[in-house]
Amino acid sequence: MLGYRHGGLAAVTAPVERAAPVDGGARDLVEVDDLKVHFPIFGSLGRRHGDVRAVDGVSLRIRRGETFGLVGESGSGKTTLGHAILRLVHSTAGQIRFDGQDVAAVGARELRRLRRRMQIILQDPYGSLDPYLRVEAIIGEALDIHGLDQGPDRKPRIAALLSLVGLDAQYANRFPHAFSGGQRQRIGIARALAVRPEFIVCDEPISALDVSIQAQILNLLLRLRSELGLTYLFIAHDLSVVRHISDRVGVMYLGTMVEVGPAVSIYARSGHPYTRALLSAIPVPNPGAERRRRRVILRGDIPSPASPPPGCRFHTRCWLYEGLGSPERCRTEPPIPRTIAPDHQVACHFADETLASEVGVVQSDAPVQVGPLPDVPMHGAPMPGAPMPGAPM
Amino acid sequence: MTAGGVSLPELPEPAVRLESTPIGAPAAARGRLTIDGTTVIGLVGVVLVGGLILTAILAPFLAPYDPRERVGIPFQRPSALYPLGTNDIGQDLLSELIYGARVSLTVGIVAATVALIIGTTVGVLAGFYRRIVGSVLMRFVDILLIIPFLPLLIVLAAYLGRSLLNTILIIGVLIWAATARVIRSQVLSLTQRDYIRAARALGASDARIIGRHILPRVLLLGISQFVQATSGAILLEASLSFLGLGDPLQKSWGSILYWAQVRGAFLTDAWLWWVLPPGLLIGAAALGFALMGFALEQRINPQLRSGR
Ligand SMILES: Nc1ncnc2c1ncn2[C@@H]1O[C@H](COP(=O)(O)OP(=O)(O)O)[C@@H](O)[C@H]1O
Ligand code: SF4
Ligand SMILES: [Mg+2]
Repeated sequence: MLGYRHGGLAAVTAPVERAAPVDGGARDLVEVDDLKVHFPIFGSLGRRHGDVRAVDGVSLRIRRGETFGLVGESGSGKTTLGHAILRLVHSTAGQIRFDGQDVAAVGARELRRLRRRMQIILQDPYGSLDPYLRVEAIIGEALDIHGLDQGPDRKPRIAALLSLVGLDAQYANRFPHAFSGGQRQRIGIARALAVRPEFIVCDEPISALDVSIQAQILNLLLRLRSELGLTYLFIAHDLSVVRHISDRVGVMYLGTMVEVGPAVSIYARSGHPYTRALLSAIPVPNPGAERRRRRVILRGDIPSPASPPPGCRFHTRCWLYEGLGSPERCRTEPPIPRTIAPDHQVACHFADETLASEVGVVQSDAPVQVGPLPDVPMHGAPMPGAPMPGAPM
Repeated sequence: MTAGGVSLPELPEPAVRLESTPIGAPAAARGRLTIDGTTVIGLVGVVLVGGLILTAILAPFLAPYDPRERVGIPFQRPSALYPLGTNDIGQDLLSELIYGARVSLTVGIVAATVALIIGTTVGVLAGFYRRIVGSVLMRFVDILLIIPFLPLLIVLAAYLGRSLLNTILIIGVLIWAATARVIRSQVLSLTQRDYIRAARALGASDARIIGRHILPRVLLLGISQFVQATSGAILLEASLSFLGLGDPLQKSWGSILYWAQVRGAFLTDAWLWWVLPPGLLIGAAALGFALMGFALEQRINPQLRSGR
């Protein structure tokens, strides 16, 4: 129905060749270990003044077929992390493996092969398409680079890609300026799909769009995910979008991952004050639940990643830190991630206190609570033996 | 996959139709031709340059005599036979001037082409590989821009010998730096565009990115730089020839001035027909190209800035 070559949609993503996982198949698709991406700051005289520590020791795993939601305020390093995974920026330290291959170490030829398997959808639909090229050339470039569907196959394939993303094939010879933001984003998605990737970094793909169009693009991405069996790293700056579509969610703050866990677990029982603050910013449709909810507002701006605060990077804005009377630990000791529930890690010295609080939690189905919640035992107590620093969260 | 169907219920399923928008709506509104100052300036430049180029092409039909031939008595005043008089060896000055357009314009245009090629190459490389290659190249460019041209020009010309090709190469090699700098800053901004990032993510090679997304976008800027460089090159050629460092076998406007100076025309009233006309032509050519370049740049720059 969509006119794919090699019959059916499966062919769209089926990679020509796959590197065999080193250890026999149990590997996650994307493995990031203690990744650091620092950008040097140069002064007027070309002297190096220091580093913007955009990503500063992040570890994560993205499993085959899952959607990993990555959230955090603007400037927390999400885009840089996404770019580093695709080797669009050089990593300063740490390791990134895609299907077992060290992304930072592969040679040019192998990198090209990898880039057929992982793609990116960019945030700004206006900047992401070359304004001087027709849609056909924009999508066709992806094919040409890898010698895919050349000659008589090229046109029908471009048409098929356009209809796959819900655009009329007859628009192939238009220039980007003729399209709305949503349409441009569809073109960007078609371009990414042209090489039949398995993994796509969606870098805030809907934040620049009109609210009325956001859901359409989101639904398109979801349809493609299930039809093509894609794995997503879905970046967003708030939790409301991510909650609907993610299997797991990671929360970044100032270059570090402060909490990772199953989406359900993060929304119901977040153990990090920052996540709670993000949660309390989500609008709740039910006015009753909204009234019952305890909210905190994040004050001030995210500090500069060139000189992050010592200890816990969030302590300058942390409501719990304030509530606990500014414990010294938060100022001096960087919190190490620990497991608070199955598959759910938090980097906060006072995760238990956070868990005991109601801040940001929506109790839409729960009866009205009067007074503070009793201490509910969480999914097992905090696990003994915190993981090593830099261990995957 | 846990989250199969998504609940953003109030909104419709994926749109198979296009969302609102003006498919035919042109961005052509930008850059539409209006008669403003820039246009007038550009037109003046085109008329000047066009007139001179026509003169150069039609020289055999326009010139009353062969400029190499001694057609009259030396040092004649203007007359019906010799509209601008004759020079020190009895050649017709008007014919020299008309043929001189060929040499002056050729040197200017070819030298500017040399500068365009070097300047664009350096500018693109320095902008694209901005770290090491870029800083080394731009250091060199800065030095070249600081050095006073003329002394260097004289030294090089004296050292390499007087020939048309040397004149062209020396000028071209000296004036590309400005072009390189302008092109580089454009490339720097282009490389930050998201569509370049997308191309990279697709596995595009540097050569492809440069050839497809960068070079075509700096071409217009290169042309405006080329036109301005032509203006400078014409002046430099005139200076070199005036100093007697041009090709002795070629008659350019500069070399006419050189002989006028050598034969003392500057001190007699012969300056009126021997010195003033070549001077005016040099000025007209340089001005014409400069005006064209200015108008082009005015047209291009805002468009590049707003045109993403
Ligand atoms: N190329 C770069 N050079 C210098 N600083 C950068 C660069 N890219 C990003 N940054 C800085 O790194 C930090 C993280 O940026 P980014 O990854 O874009 O965050 P996010 O996507 O979460 O908004 C920001 O402070 C940003 O200014
Ligand atoms: S470690 Fe301290 S400052 Fe950091 S989030 Fe936890 S309570 Fe707040
Ligand atoms: Mg970002």
